[in-house]
Amino acid sequence: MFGDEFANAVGHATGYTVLVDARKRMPASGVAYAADLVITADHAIEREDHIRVGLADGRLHPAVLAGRDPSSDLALLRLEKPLLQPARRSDAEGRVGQLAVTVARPALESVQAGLAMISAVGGPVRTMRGGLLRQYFRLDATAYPGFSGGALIDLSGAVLGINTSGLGGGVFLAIPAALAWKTAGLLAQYGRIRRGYLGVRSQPVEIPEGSRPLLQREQVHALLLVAVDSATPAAQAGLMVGDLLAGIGGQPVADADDLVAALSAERAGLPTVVEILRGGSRLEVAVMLGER
Amino acid sequence: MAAEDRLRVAVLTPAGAIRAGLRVLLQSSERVEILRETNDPDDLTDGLEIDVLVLHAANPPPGGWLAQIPGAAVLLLMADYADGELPLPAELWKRPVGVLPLDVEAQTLHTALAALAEGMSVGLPAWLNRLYPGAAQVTGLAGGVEQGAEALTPREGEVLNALAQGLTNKQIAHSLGISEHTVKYHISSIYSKLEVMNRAEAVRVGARRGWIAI
Repeated sequence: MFGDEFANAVGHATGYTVLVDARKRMPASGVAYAADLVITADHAIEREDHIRVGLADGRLHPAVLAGRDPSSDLALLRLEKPLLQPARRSDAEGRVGQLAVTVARPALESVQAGLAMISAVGGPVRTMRGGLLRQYFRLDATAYPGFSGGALIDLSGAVLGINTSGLGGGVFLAIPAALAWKTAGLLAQYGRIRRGYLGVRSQPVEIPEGSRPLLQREQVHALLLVAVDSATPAAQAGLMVGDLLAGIGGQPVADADDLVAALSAERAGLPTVVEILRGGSRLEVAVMLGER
Repeated sequence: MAAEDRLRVAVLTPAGAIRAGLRVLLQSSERVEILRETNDPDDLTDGLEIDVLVLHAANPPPGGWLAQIPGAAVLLLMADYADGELPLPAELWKRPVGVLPLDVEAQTLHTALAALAEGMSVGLPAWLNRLYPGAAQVTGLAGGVEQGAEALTPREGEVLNALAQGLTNKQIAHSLGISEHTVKYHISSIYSKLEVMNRAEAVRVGARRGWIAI
């Protein structure tokens, strides 16, 4: 029967969908990544101690925060004991029009589910949390309370993504499983996500009108470097306080979010070129990005 | 040029080469209007509407004259660190302050003037920190971008930069050698000063104000 497929899929997810109690309001949800590790939504972690994870056995178990990545709204929790049955990732990527199910455990009694269609596959996009999300699934689904951190599953019960309403001003999205698993792996190994690093502090300013033509594009704002920390990639490349940083790696930089997005983890340790306005001229400065 | 685009500048320096050089630099931008050049602060207290007062830091006249020039941001020009040893009016630190080397390039000078007129403090943080009296020390740069923004303490600045690295409270406590309890205390103070609700917002606002090394 057609309807049975959904119930069967949710049945698979029951074992790996957990409750995450780390805030005063209603608990959120999480997905078992390993026998002792849970992926959840970072915004659901409002306190870092006395975190509890509720399992299908109907009990709450103590957990600690193994790492968090606020910019992608993912966090990893570690249980004291290996009590979990890890989720299975879908072999295929989610597709537009695919029918799926959101699964969550906002209350201990049982899992909850919702019908979802992947209405769009988007990205890369800058999130409202100051990061760059390489890909996301927009969901035609209801963002029930406590569903953040839960799984988007296909009809075989495998995980397509991690759901969250914390990334885009309340819009209900799923972070594709491949991305979420990669982040969880890094958090499990290093406890944090390392990113590219330049070593500057800046404030957004309007580019003086006389200098704008130098950029040969429509750009009004750039970053005024108010500090260049010593012994950093920026200092080694000769960037100076007072420089206007207008671009990096061929992309315009008009505010700090642009710069943060350009310094994603995969750029760390790689050479790039920053575009500087200094003393009425435009300079391209080669920089070897650091990592921190 | 519209009145609001103009930058009204007054220069308080000893006469001579410094003032002449400054005049050339300042006049390289059409925006700048030099209202007055003087070595006597009393010349500036007659109600002039000054956006930015340019002051050679080796020549800080004593007294309460600055309070009589309300609304003006202050740009300090210093030959070297040693200038920062000189006593500066306490009133200075209640306004946007810029600190630049005396050999500043025109572009930097004009960007700094524009930022100061907008209410931002700019300059070399090492110099600002040296100058800032006691508890008002900053880690990145002085003052707030928006009106009424509170500066962070040095420790709060460190915690904010640790938040930007995605560290947990425990990791921050370990790296700074303080207790998790203290970390939480600093974070809640940061949230309140930046008027934010969570780590992601704190990092975004901090980065925008130039308080986070990116």
